[in-house]
Amino acid sequence: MTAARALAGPLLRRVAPLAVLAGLVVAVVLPALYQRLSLDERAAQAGLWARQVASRAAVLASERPQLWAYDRVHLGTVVRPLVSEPVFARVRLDTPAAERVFEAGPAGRVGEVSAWAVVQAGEQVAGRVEVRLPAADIRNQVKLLWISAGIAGLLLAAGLFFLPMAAVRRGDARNDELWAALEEANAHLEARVEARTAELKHRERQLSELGARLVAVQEEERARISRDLHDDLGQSLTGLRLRLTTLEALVPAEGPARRHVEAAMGAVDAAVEQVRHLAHGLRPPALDALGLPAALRAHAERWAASAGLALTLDLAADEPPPGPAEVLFRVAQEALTNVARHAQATRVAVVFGRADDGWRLVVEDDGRGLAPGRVGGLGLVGARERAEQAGGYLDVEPGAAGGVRLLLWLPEDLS
Amino acid sequence: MRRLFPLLLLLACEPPPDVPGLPPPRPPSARAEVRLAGDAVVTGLVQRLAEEFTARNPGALLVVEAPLGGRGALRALQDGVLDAALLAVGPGETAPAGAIGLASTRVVLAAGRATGLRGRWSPLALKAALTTPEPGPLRFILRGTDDPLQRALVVASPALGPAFERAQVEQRWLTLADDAAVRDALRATPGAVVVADTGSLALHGLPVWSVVVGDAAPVVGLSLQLRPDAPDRLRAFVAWATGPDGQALVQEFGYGSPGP
Repeated sequence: MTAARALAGPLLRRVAPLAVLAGLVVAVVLPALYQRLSLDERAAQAGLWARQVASRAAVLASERPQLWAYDRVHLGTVVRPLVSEPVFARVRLDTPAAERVFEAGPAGRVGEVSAWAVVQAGEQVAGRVEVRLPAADIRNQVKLLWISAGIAGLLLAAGLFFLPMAAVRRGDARNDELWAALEEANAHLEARVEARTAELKHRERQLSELGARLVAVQEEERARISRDLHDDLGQSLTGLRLRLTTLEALVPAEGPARRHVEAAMGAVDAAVEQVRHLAHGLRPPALDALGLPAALRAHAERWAASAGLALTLDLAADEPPPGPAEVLFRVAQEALTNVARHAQATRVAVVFGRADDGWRLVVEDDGRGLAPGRVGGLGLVGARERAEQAGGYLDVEPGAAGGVRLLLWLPEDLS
Repeated sequence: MRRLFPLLLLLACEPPPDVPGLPPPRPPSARAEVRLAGDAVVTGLVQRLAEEFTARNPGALLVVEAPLGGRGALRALQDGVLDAALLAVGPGETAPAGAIGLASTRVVLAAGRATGLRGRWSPLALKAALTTPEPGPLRFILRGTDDPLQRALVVASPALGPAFERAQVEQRWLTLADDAAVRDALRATPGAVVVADTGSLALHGLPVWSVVVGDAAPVVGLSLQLRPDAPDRLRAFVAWATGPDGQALVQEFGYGSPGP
């Protein structure tokens, strides 16, 4: 709806009465006021002349108490300046004995405005004077004024109503132009935003693919290093151990050589254990051999045993694809490591399963929780980046038992 | 809007004039004297006749008032304020029914001797001077449109009518209503020219130059209109004035006999 159309109603309700009122004031009040003032002025003039005539007549009445009212000669000299052109007044004199004793001036329509005055002769009222003045000229002027003021009032009323409407219509047209320009600019911007969004999505997809690839490469590299450690270094150490065992049998039971051999055997055993530990940390064999649930269970139980914490496991039997499985396992590793290092917890729960068309992992402890404002260390930051690169998310929040609750969600497949 | 329209009506309506009241009329008191008044041109003659009649008939108690004008006198007669109205009837005018003819006189233009204009002004030049906006060396003294002499002069020379009216409206010329004031002005004002009648000029012995306007000087009849219940001594006066003795005096004063 345009503003002009929207304003038409309020204008009709509010401005139209005001416009009509203003028009009426101009068309009716002004001519009426002019007529009234003009007639009042004419009446005042008649009153002034009536008083003048009465004043002079009073002198005549004092001189000739009986006959003054009939003295046309002298009364004529008093009223003569009034009863002829251009004044054209009509003068009438009444006495207590008779009305219209003296009358002078034109008759007819002349005398529409009248005024009276008393002729006072001493203490007595000797008569009264009426002076009537024409008002036809005023009425003719007022007729013209009615017509012109009526037209002016009509124009004023129409102007008061239609000018705002015209202004609003002009504003509407301008608004329409601006809206059109705005819509054009908006469409252009939308197109640019869409193009930019598409580009960003493309880059995001590329980044996601790159992240997934990085994770995969990392995992492959870890697996290769793990295999190399296990197969090469581990085999070498095993061979060394066998040789030391053989050497142990050859050296006397007592003596310094035997102690050195036993020390070397202990060092080799320790190295073998370290290699196994390293190989296991880099790529748990159970993950490839048994799948995520079993690998999680094995790692968690081994971790709980070493950390001395109570462990609760709720692991679904579903097997995620390799990509999500690796991310899930690594995040679980990081979470459990953090619990062991910082939480001072006594109990840990690990939950894994399907959720919301994806995979969900929850690790919750009853430790001291995160300090206010702290979101976790570099390990958690890396885990969150790993989750986001995989298209999921990682939330760290206070746990129900007062510790930390870590929630990881990943899509069904990283592809 | 409901309050606006009454306001507009109030604005448009004219307030009624405030008409002052009059006290009740006093009952007419019985008069001892007989009162006569009317046109100025008759007043002087009747004044002289009344004086002569009173000299012959003491106790007549005739009082001739200052001039009122003929119509005013008739109205005063009708209202019982006067006993007789003195009327001048010019050419083309009709005397009221029952009017009694007393005398007649002729209307002329009279100029004071002090004007020094004798022989140099003619009726034509006088009319031209009367109709000229600028009065020039002459000072015209008019009596007003109600003056019977002036009316008679206008009948005789119609071109003077608008000139008289315009002169009075524009107040370019002196207008004197009182007969004595006119006579005084005629005597004292250099260049004064007045409308006069031959009878009054003779009666008052005014030294003037007179000129007849038109082919002949218009004649004005002088008459009396009596109240129906006029007192006997007034009727006796009228009978004497219109009788041989009175008419002899009238002609002696310079007036003519009443017309038919």
